[in-house]
Amino acid sequence: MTFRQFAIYNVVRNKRTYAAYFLSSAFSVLVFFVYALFIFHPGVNEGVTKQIAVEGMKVAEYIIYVFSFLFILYSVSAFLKTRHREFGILMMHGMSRRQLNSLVFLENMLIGFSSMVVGIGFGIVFAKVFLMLGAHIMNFVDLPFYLSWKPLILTLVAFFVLFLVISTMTPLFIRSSKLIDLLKGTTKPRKEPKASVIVSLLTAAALVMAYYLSVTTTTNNIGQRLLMVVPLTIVTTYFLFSQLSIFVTRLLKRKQNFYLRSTNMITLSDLAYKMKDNARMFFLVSIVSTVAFCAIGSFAAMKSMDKQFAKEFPFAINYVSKPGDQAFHQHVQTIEQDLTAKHLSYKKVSLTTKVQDSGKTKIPVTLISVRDYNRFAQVLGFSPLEVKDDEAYVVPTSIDGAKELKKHPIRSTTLEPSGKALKIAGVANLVLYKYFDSNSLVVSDAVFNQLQSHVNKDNPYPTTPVTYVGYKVEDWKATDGIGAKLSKNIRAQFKKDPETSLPYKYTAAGEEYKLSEQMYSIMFFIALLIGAVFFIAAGSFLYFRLYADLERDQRHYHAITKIGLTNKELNKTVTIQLSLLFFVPILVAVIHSAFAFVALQSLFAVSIFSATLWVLLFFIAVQIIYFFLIRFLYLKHLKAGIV
Amino acid sequence: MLSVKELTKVYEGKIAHRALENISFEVSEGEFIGIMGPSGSGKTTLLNMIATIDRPTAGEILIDRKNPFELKKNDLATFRRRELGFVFQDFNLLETLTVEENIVLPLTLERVSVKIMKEKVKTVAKKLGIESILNKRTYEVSGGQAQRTAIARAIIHSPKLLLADEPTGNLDSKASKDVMQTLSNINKEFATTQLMVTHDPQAASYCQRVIFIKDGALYNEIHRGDNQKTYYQSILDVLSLLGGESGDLSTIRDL
Ligand SMILES: Nc1ncnc2c1ncn2[C@@H]1O[C@H](COP(=O)(O)OP(=O)(O)OP(=O)(O)O)[C@@H](O)[C@H]1O
Ligand SMILES: [Mg+2]
Repeated sequence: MTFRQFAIYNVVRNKRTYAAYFLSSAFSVLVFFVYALFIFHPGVNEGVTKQIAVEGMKVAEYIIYVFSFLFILYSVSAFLKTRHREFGILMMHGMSRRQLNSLVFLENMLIGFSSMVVGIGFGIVFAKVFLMLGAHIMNFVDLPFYLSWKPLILTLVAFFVLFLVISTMTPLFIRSSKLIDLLKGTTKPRKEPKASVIVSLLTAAALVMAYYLSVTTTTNNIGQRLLMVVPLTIVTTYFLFSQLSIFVTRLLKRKQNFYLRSTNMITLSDLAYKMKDNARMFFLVSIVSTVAFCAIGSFAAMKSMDKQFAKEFPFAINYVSKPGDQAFHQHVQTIEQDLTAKHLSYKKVSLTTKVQDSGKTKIPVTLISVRDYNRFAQVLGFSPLEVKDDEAYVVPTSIDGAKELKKHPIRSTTLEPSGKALKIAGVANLVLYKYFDSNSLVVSDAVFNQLQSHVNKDNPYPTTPVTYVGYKVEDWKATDGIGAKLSKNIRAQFKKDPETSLPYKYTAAGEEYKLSEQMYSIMFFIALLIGAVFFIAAGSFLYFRLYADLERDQRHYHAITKIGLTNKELNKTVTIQLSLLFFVPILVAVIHSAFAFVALQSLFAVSIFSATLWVLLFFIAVQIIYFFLIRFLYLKHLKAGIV
Repeated sequence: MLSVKELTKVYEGKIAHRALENISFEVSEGEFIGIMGPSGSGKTTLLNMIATIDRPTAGEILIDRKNPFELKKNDLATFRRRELGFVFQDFNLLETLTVEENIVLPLTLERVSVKIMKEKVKTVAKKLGIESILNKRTYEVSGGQAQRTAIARAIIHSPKLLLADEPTGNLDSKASKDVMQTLSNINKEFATTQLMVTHDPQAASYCQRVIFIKDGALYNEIHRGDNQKTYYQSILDVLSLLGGESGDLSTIRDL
């Protein structure tokens, strides 16, 4: 047996221990490779959304890379900790520190390299499927199979460096060089875990606090709340497992008649030990899973935004003509031809605005006559307004703006340069926020006719009076492609010179919807893969925790079956312990995520409840399958030594 | 060869425990020494310190006039690799390796060629009667076979000093005899100095000298004369003075 063979045997014959870690690393490599596949795909350089997708994936690459680094570092150091006795024996037989380091290095590189090969190999074989699937989820129609050296080399180099750095670093983790300590290794007697009442109570209080803060989050304070709640939750989760858990199990132990009943004692006494042992792992799994749930959940929720969209686009087609727009009639004709060609029936309305400045703030204000407003209101099914000559109604600039105006109403305003004073009688229903450059007021016809437009020439982007044409289309999602020529002109102008725009604006709700849907699909696709990487890593932590203790558990159960624990009782004890191990951190993650979604809800006008519920249910289902698989394997291994 | 001078070991803890108290003795080149004493008297502690596994609290150990604790880390590793062989009370075989691979471990670390390894394994395995299990994994062999594997591993590199903590603790009297005969032969053939902790007076009677320890201090010492029978009897006598039956003692193990 050469030294290299020795290292290989150590890995290959311990494949059961390394299995989950290996698969998880390989999966990270795979996802990294898949992103690289998209990033270097020549097809993604065309089109704005694709470019955004590429940018998002670049960010995702960094996240995966950093996460993989931490995950692998943690896993490797955890593996090393369980091998102290082995290292002690080796050193006793004259292994030098350098040899020990090179042994650990070789082993790590071996695992790292094979997970790279498996991850990339899988990626290459299924590249076509990934491209198709990705293109499908992200609504790209045209991503043909394309494989170049670039993604391959990027992934290879990135992970080679990663494994190299970690493999070089890890030997430093074997700090205790006292042979006697190493030899005692994991058989070292473990102290009875302790918990402090004060810390436990503080933990409970902090958790309630964090949840309360998330429930009371509003659109305005969400940023600030996140900054508070996230660190608070992370710290609390740690103490939840390291303190509160032991506190509770001890409380149960103290109840003698519960504690001494049948197998409860075995389950609980072992559990209290395991809790402490596993606190760190529980903590990691909870946090990592929470991140996975939130990432996938929130983007899944954003996909279901069409209701909000319909509210924000009362008119499917919007054309705004500014002074100097010579092609006005031609454009309107194009739009109507397109609509007819697509057999879309529509109701057309139009109005012309005037502009004055607000006396208080000197900001331009767009004015609409009440007659025009009521024509619009009728088409949209809102109740008409009656406006007196000294009154005006505010037209909100967005849905949130409408809410804000209702909370903090404006009482009055004076228009300049006309000097016309107006009482604000209320908030109008119509939302045309996207089409006027400023706040709008509905005024009486008399006032409207009497005022002259005033355009502030000092402003480089002055608000001008405009003519607005809106088409209400029932099947608004079908309006994608209507007036495509106009959109194209606008984009071309923006590309040519972003500073000066054309004298008209054009939006079709269908196109906007498709764009935004695609944006969220892209985000969803990215979040999905990252979330999967996180979730699988969490599974690997669990697996590792279990198999690190397998030898000890085997001895433990061996001993108690000798005393007379039946097979059924053994199954029951193991099942209880395993389910706690598997479902406690996931349950915590689900609760955390649920509160995070409540906080996120404040960002949405429509309910994200069902979308996020599905995501959480899906994860729980996966975890249940994982649980049964591991329970089966674990019991098999555990009983291997028991007759 | 080996000299132990006023060795003291105190285990720190909630209650500090004085496991060894001022022990001194000399072992010359090629000697075969037995160490006996009741359970908990400090035999393993003593052996661990000679084996450089643990540091003494006070006193000095010289092996070939060198103090191993003063060596640099790397030199200490080389020293262990070349000069020391150690049989642990609980074998300490590596589960990932087969019996054969466990045995050649010291040679692997020394980067000896595979050909020489094979030859040496063959010889040692034959001596210890474990040729048939060489390809088995450690969890597939019996306690006695594991013990012999551990002994094979300790002697394969022909160390100058062989330390053994109850090498016959798991063996029946026939196997125990074989192992003792092997150790005795190695001692004679290669002039390997050997220190062996044992509870078995039969095994101890193979030693040229038996040192008795009680409560961490030297209690007595018997030399083997010409007569094996009287030697064996006097070992039994000291043991009964120490208190406890020899049979009882060997059933008590520390893990
Ligand atoms: N790590 C330790 N910490 C504290 N006390 C220890 C430690 N190791 C051993 N002891 C104590 O030191 C004493 C000597 O232990 P040692 O293992 O040397 O006994 P021994 O003679 O080998 O016994 P046995 O015949 O049972 O193997 C014992 O009383 C033991 O309890
Ligand atoms: Mg002992």
